[in-house]
Amino acid sequence: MLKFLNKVGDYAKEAIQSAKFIGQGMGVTFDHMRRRPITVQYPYEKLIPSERFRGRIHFEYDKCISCEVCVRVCPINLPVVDWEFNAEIKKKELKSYSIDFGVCIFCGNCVEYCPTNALAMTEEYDLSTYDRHELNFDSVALGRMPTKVTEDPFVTPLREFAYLPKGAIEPHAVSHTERRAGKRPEEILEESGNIGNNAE
Amino acid sequence: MVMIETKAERMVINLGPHHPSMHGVLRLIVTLDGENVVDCEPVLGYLHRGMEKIAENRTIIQYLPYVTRWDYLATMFTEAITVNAPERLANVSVPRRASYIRMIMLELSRIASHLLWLGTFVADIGAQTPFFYVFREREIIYDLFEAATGMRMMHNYFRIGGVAADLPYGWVDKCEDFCNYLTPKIDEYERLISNNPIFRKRIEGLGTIGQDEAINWGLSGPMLRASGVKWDLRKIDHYELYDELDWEVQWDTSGDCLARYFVRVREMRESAKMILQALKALPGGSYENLEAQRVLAGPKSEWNGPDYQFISKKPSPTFKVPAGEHYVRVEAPKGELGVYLIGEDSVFPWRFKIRPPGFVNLQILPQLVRGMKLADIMAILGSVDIIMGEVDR
Repeated sequence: MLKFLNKVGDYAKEAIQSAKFIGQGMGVTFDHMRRRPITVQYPYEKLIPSERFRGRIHFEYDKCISCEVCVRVCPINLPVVDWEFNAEIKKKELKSYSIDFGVCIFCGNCVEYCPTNALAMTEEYDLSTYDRHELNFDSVALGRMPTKVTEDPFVTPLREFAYLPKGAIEPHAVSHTERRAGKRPEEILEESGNIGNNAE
Repeated sequence: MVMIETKAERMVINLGPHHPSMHGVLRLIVTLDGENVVDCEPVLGYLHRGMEKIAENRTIIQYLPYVTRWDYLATMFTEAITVNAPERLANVSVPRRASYIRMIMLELSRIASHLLWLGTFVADIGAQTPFFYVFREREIIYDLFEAATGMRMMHNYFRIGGVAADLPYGWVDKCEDFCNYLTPKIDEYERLISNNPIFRKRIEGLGTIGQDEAINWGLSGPMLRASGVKWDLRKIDHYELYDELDWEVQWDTSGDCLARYFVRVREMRESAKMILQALKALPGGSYENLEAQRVLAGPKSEWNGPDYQFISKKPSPTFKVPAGEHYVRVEAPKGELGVYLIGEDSVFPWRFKIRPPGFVNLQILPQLVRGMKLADIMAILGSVDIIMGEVDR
């Protein structure tokens, strides 16, 4: 009889423990009823790509010296650089330049190593087309500027976490024009009481 | 109790490569006796892309974008090892600031990897909710990565001799924000998962690996540490500047799935702690501080010294891998990620052998699931934490 009562007691204890811990877990779940969704309602809301975002590559024709460094640092030697040596001015003349963005992986090596900064990354990321050949950009297409999320009246721009003010976790609550985290150098100098010292 | 003896034909089924509950494209040929697993044979290679062979005709600069495709959930580690191997062979020094930036990035990446592991592992067992929670936190890590490197997963950030760029404005502040935000969130997961009786009953004592066994199978990472071996390459190899931080190796003794869960959760907390320390100790402080000090002290100040640079020297596109061979490893979230590099004083490495932790850890799976129930396969496989990208390479 005692054994049976012990068993019942143990069982009851276990059941209470279980109820307690499941209740604790449910507490976490139900706590989300007072939290706002964190999802970005694309395409009505869009994240502002970060400053270093590696989107479609922009190419400036006149800056290119046809050195082909971009080809050599590219994992698959993707950029097509067509040039001809002009004996008169003793310089290479660029005839055409193209990058196929259907193949490009946006690693940014070409941009990093371009000696004349003819290449740059843009914030353009929506490159879908109906025909993959349209993604083979020639120098004209490469020279086009991307559109800005912040200038589109139909879109609510949202900032990514690293660009929010100090302490803010969620972009929905703050305006995208509010100042982001990080002091300005002059503020740091002012705080350390050193402003103007080096001007003397 | 009287049981009716049934003798059923053995059944051989394919779990994967395309199975809703399978991780990646792993195929398991499972021999079943009813619900019991008699044998299990993993079949690999569905995601084989010849990563080692590709490395043999790429310069290190060209190869760096590839490596984030090995373990695509702990991307910083693959970059770290690809850069560390030629760096050590060529004796390239890394500025202290760069080393700290690397550590911060690596630990963030570890948290991201463990977070996703937590989500999928618990989802394997049947709890879907934490899966969504972890993505919320992981998203923030990827936002931080995007701000610093330009890409959320395929960073291409590490360079021979440092990192590609300094941390952006305000990044240090936001990273601190994240670490302070993460710890209460992990508390939340633990409240939801750790003591849940269903979870505990389901995985306690499941897939137990003994200490000797773990060592003999060559396991590494949380798989090894959960079996009572206090082995962490960050403490053992003393790479980067991990010695300057105050942290403990997280380990457990029971060796079952639950122990592996605890080890990983504690590692996340430890990593958050380490990042906070590293952010405080970052030589030169945040980028904005460094810039202010440089302006203040003029061009020949100590702030322009080698320790405060993010890279020692920009690697040339024709960087030569010196003649020689060696093995370099880092402690990736899944375990020991190593590279055996043979150079012959050419721009291309002669051999680039990758030792992925997932591949080695996966070996023990058949032994673990033998004699278990069919439903336990996924729970055990989940606790091993494999990524097919690095298993097949």
